[in-house]
Amino acid sequence: MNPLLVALWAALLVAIPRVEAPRSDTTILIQGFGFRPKRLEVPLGTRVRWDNRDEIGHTVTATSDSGAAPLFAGVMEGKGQSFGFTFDRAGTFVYTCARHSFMRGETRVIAKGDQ
Amino acid sequence: MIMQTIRTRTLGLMAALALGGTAIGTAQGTAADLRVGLNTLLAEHIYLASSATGAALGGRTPEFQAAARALDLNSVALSRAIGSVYGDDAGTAFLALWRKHIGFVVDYTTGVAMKNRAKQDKAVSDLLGYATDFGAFLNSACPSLPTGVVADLVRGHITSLKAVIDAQAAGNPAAYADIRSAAAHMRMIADPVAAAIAKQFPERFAAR
Repeated sequence: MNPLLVALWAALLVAIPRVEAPRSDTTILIQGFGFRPKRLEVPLGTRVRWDNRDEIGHTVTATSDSGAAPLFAGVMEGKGQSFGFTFDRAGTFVYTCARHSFMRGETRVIAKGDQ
Repeated sequence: MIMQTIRTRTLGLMAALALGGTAIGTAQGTAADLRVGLNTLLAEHIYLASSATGAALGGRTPEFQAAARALDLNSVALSRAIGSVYGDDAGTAFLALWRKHIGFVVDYTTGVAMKNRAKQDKAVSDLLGYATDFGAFLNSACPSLPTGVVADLVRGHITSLKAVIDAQAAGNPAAYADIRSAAAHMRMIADPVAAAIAKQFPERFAAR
C-alpha cells in the first residue's frame, strides 16, 4: 500500500473527534414502595432506567428548588412500566415518588476526573 | 449460620410483635404465634384509634394526645414486625404507609367535628385510594397476597372505623358495638396475612 495513503488515513483517524459510545442503561428497581438501590453513583452520560415492579403507580420526580420545574419527572402507571433519563451533567440528583413522598432516591453523577 | 439467621429474624419478629405490650404465647417462632401476634396488634390498632377519635371528638385533648402516642407505638411495633421479616427498608415503607392512613383518619375525624362534608369526602376518598396502595405494598412483599383482595379487606377496615367515628360524633352508645365489630374485622386481615407469611417462609414459621 502506498505509504502516503497510509499516513493520510492515520492522520484522518487522529483528526476525527472520538464520539463517546452511549453508556448502557443502569436500572433501578421500584419495588415494595422503595427505590432499589436507593443510592447510585454513575459516570456522566449514563442513562438510568427505573422499572416499576409494584402493582401500583409511582413516579420518579427530581426534587427542585424554589418551585422550578424538576429536571426529570416520569410517571409509571403500573407494574412493568419504566422511565429513563440520561444524566448529562454532574452532580447529586435527589428524586422522590410524587404519590408516596416517603420514597426517596439519589443518583450521584460523576464527571471524568472527579472520581 | 443460616439457621442462626433464621432464628434471629424469627425472634426479632416475635419481639416486634410483643412490643404491643401484650403476651403472645410462650412458644416462639410458630405460625400460630405469628397469627396471634398480628391479630393482637391489629385489634389494638382499632382500640387505640377509636380511643383517639373518641377523645378528639369529645374535646379531651390530653387524652387524645396520650391515645395518639400509644397508637403510634402500635404502628411502630407493626412496622418492626414487617421489617423483621422483609428487611428494614420494607419496615420503613410500611410505617410511612400505615401512618398515612392514620393521617387520613384524623382528617376524616376533623371533618366530622367541623361538620365539613367536603373534608370528610376528601378523607374517605384518600382512604379508599390508600387501600390499593396498601394492597400493592403487601403484594410486593408477599406475592401470594393479591393486591385487590388486600385492598378490599382494608376498605372493610376503613368502613368499620368510619362507622365508629360517626357513632362517636353522634354520641351514639352503639359506638362500642361498632368498635368491637371493627376490631373483629381486623382478623380478616391478620389471618390471611399471617398465613401467607408463614407459607412464604416455612423454615421460619414451622407449625409446632
